[in-house]
Amino acid sequence: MEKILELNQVTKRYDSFELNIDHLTLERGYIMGFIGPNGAGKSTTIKLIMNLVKKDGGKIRLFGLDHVENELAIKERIGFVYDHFPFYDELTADEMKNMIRPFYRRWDEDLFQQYVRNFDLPIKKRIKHFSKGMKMKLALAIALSHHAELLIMDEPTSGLDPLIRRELLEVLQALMEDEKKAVFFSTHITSDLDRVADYITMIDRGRILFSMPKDDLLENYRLVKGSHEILDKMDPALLVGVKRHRFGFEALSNDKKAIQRQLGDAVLLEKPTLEEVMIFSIAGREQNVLSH
Amino acid sequence: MYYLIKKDLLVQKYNLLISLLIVLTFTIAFANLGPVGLSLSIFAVSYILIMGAASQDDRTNGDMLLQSLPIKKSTIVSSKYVSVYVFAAFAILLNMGVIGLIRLLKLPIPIAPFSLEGVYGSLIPITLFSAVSFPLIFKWGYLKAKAVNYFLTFVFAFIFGATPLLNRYFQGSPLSIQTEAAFKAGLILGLFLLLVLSYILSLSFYKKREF
Repeated sequence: MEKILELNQVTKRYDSFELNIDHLTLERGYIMGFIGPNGAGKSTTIKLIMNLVKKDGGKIRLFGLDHVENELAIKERIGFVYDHFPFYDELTADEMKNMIRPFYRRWDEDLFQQYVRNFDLPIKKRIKHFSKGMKMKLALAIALSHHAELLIMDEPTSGLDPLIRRELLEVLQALMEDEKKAVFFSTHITSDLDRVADYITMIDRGRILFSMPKDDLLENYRLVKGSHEILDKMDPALLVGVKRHRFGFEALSNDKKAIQRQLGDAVLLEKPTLEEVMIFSIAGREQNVLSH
Repeated sequence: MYYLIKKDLLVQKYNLLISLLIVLTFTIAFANLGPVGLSLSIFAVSYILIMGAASQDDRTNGDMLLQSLPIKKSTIVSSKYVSVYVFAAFAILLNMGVIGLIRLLKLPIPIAPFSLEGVYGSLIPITLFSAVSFPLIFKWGYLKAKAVNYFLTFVFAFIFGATPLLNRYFQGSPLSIQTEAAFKAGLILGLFLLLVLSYILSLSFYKKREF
């Protein structure tokens, strides 16, 4: 399958932050959840992909094309939704659409009007009177109305109520019925990805911790619970992150089979949520940093 | 480009109304200045609309939106330069309308006549101002460039730019007709070259800017 998005050895340095992405790919037909805590580098990665900030090194290719050399051709095929919705709020939704529409050769007005009806968008209302949920829906309607092949979303659900978040996820699921499309979806609300993501990529402090199919992740990762004595006997390499408390420990392992082989019934194994994977992975990195 | 300029007008519906008040005030207050009063009125309205458009881009992160769309950076930059003269045309029409209406209604208000000299005179400070301001706005954005722009507005438009040039233009010249024509041609060429240089600088800054 053709890679719709590919990052190789991408670097970006700021005074107090450095992003280093060795390798990251997304194929057509999949939704990739891009998770990480605030300040991990999610937005910077998206800005690099969109060429809103300049990379210091590495290669970024979309649809097999270099993202700087073919910037216009690439942007014609991308839909974007940013968390702060950079719309001119003095304009009505209709005026905003009319400003954007001429720049896309494949703009589909019927499709846009269909989204307006489905989302119940007040098209003649000024955007400054829109709620955050309505702004997100408008951004989504615009992003989807030019037959974009790749949808890039930066924290689109941040600050939205569960009903609107659910509506967005349903739209994404419907969108993925077309296997030629892909979605790159950054969020720190990991529960949004439980339903829709095919791949999970986690970033922390500017580095990718893992990028794998969600099913593999949920199959191989386990929450391990047991006593302090058991923890002392365990191979630390099997644990991604550990939390000690008065009565024992809680840890995350990325190798369920090895834990079962080593400890059998001596520990309790539970399927983790994506949020727990994220929290333990970050905790694990902090422990490693402290131990250096 | 048309849609970007249209956007710059639409996002400033409030400023368009303010422009009417400015033109009314300037027409009455500077009636005794003659064409200079008209020039100042056109400049003031153009200034408010130029800075208003830049301010809207900054406040709403509009540049981030434009940069994410399939639009050439050169189109974004050149549309700003063209919009300056669209704003000036709007200011000219507004002045014509206000002066015409006052005359039509025969209101007992002293007003300066509408004159082509006043129109030409306004284009000098407008061109000077935008040629200097735009590179700063494209490099830093409206907010960061605001303080410098205020200072430049004062210095260029009213001290070094508008006043002496307007006086020179309207008070007549002791020079011969040929020298006067050469002066005007030189002025137009100089302003054109300044605009070209300004555009090149703006585009270069905008291509390097990060959002």
